[in-house]
Amino acid sequence: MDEGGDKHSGYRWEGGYERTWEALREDDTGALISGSSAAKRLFAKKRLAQEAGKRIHIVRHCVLALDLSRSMADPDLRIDRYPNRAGCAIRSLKEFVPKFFAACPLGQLALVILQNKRANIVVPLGGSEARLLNALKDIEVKGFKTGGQCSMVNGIAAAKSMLSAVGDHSNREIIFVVGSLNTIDVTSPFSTIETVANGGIRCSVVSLSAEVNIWKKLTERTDGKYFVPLDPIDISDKLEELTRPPVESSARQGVLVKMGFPQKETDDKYICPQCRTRVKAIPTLCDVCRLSLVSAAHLARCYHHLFPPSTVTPSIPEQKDEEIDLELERSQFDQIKPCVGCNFAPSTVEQGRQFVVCDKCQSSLCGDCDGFIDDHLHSCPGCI
Amino acid sequence: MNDALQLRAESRSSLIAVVLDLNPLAWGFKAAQDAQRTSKSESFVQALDATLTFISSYLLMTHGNQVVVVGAHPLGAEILHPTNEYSGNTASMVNRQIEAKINDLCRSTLLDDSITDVSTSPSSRFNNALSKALCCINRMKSDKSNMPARLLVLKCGGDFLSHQYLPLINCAYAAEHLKVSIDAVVLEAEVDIPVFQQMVDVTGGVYSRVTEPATLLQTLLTYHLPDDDARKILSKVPSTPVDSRAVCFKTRTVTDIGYVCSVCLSVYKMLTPICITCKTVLKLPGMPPSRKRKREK
Ligand SMILES: [Zn+2]
Ligand SMILES: [Zn+2]
Ligand SMILES: [Zn+2]
Ligand SMILES: [Zn+2]
Repeated sequence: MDEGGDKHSGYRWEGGYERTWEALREDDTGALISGSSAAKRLFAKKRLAQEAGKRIHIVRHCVLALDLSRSMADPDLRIDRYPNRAGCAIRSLKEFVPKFFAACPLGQLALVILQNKRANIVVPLGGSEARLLNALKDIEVKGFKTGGQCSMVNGIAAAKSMLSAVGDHSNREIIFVVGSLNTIDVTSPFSTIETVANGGIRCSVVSLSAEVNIWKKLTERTDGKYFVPLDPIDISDKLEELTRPPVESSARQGVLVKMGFPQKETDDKYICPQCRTRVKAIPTLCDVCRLSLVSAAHLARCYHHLFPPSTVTPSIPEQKDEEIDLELERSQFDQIKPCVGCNFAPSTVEQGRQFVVCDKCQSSLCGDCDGFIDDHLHSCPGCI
Repeated sequence: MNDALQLRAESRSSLIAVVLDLNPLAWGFKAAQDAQRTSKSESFVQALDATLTFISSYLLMTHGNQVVVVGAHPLGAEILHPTNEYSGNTASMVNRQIEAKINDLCRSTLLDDSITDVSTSPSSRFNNALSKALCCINRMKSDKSNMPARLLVLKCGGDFLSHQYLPLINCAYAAEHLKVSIDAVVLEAEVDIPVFQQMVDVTGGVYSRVTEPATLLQTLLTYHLPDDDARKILSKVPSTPVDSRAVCFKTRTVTDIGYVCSVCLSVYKMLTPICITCKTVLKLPGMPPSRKRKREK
């Protein structure tokens, strides 16, 4: 591999072209949805509503296994200052980590690097967002070094060593981000796949090269997801899909987990309610009595997964006919009230298309507020 | 002022959203209406004066500072400033508009008899007020390329807002996402409000409880006027322990150790065989793993 050379240089036709078509996305039916339109938000809402209330495992323990073998140096995927597959993977993982902890405040993440046929645990399982981001940044600072080949069996072994310590009340997962077309292993990967499947560890794979049979088999056997992203932005989209807690398909038994809710003292330390040990930050396990310590707010932040988002109707519904009735649109536009959240009133019909009406309280909501409610607030400012 | 100076002042300007409690029951308006003016409704005038002074001070501190004021009452929440009538940032005009809006509200909804109706909860709708304030901040931040913003909540009385717990915590995390710190000021002699303490804790703001309405202005100006950068330099505001205990879903009592359903995260003070929220049959901790898993192996 070309060491030390300018990683950004390459053939002119390999980059630097604006790929405008990549902003296009399709909905369920295959119709194109554009930008941040009301239609896109409605589509997202529908998906959230489908998942809400299903048996969802919110306490997630997840190992990120990142392939940094030679195949990841391929510049076929590149964006901004990220010159190759490895760069694009890091870029998307940096977005993934905060989203994971926002969706699963009680979850834990680990990072394993697959390189030179080995698997190195870079960050052990833990709840620290900063530690993971630092590790990812470190790889970026060092110039996305890649080398050798990738081994699935060693990756799984490293992940399993961490996941086996976790109680079976929680969901255990491995997310692979790989560019390799093969896996170089000392033992049969097929028997390894059987052992992870029996161990109840869900494996998902984001493949940056092509669909690879052995990786696909791994996801099928373990009830995971398999993605082959089309472009760098699509990697983020696919990983975002994995930030949402997985829907439990098998009728797994629920368990009661004993947890402590410590008080935060004036010196910013927390005291374990069971053994009075002081800990620095929560959520964590008490160092002495191994009780899970969380705050009520951490739990409350998870509950929105269980309820479907509020349903809305566009203020100016899309017209199905070839000929668009402009007069009808105009009259619909005139009826739009200022947004109940931010008091913004649309001045053009184009802006009016972004507006929706809350089905519950009939308040008007602008596109910005509607999106903000779905992503963060989880309740409509007009609903009493 | 030359351009460079103008630019510097603009770049330091910030936004504050103030949520005001307009609960007539908490402030004692209702009592005052029938009988003599009580000392409590006097205190509302005093508190409003203090808040308006605080808002003026904030606007005068740096050129280009902006303010959003939202009133919370038992029937909902209302944006008092900016409105379609006046959306500027001249301190005197802002104050006049807020006073006028509160007067209007008092005349129409707040002194209406339906507010004392038993069917509606008598607490102010802080969740609606905070989400409106955050929606405004979200819009202004996207319009004005990320100007720094904060939020201040002023509440009267020691009502725990337990029915609003979930939306309020969601507001706190939404604020954290926007990098908005939440300050809370509670006018109350006896108790702290845990949900406000937690919101302040999540967003890294300042919580204070004022026991005497006369000291409100002093508290606002000393603890809550400095922005996030100035706070780093100033000595730390004395912090109070944060109560982050959970409430048992079955008995509605607070507990510091509980059992949590792994499927829906309901909290129980005592072991329970079936989760009342999601109806899952629960395996109790410390029992051998169920037979099903063994058979799979
Ligand atoms: Zn302990
Ligand atoms: Zn809005
Ligand atoms: Zn609504
Ligand atoms: Zn449950």
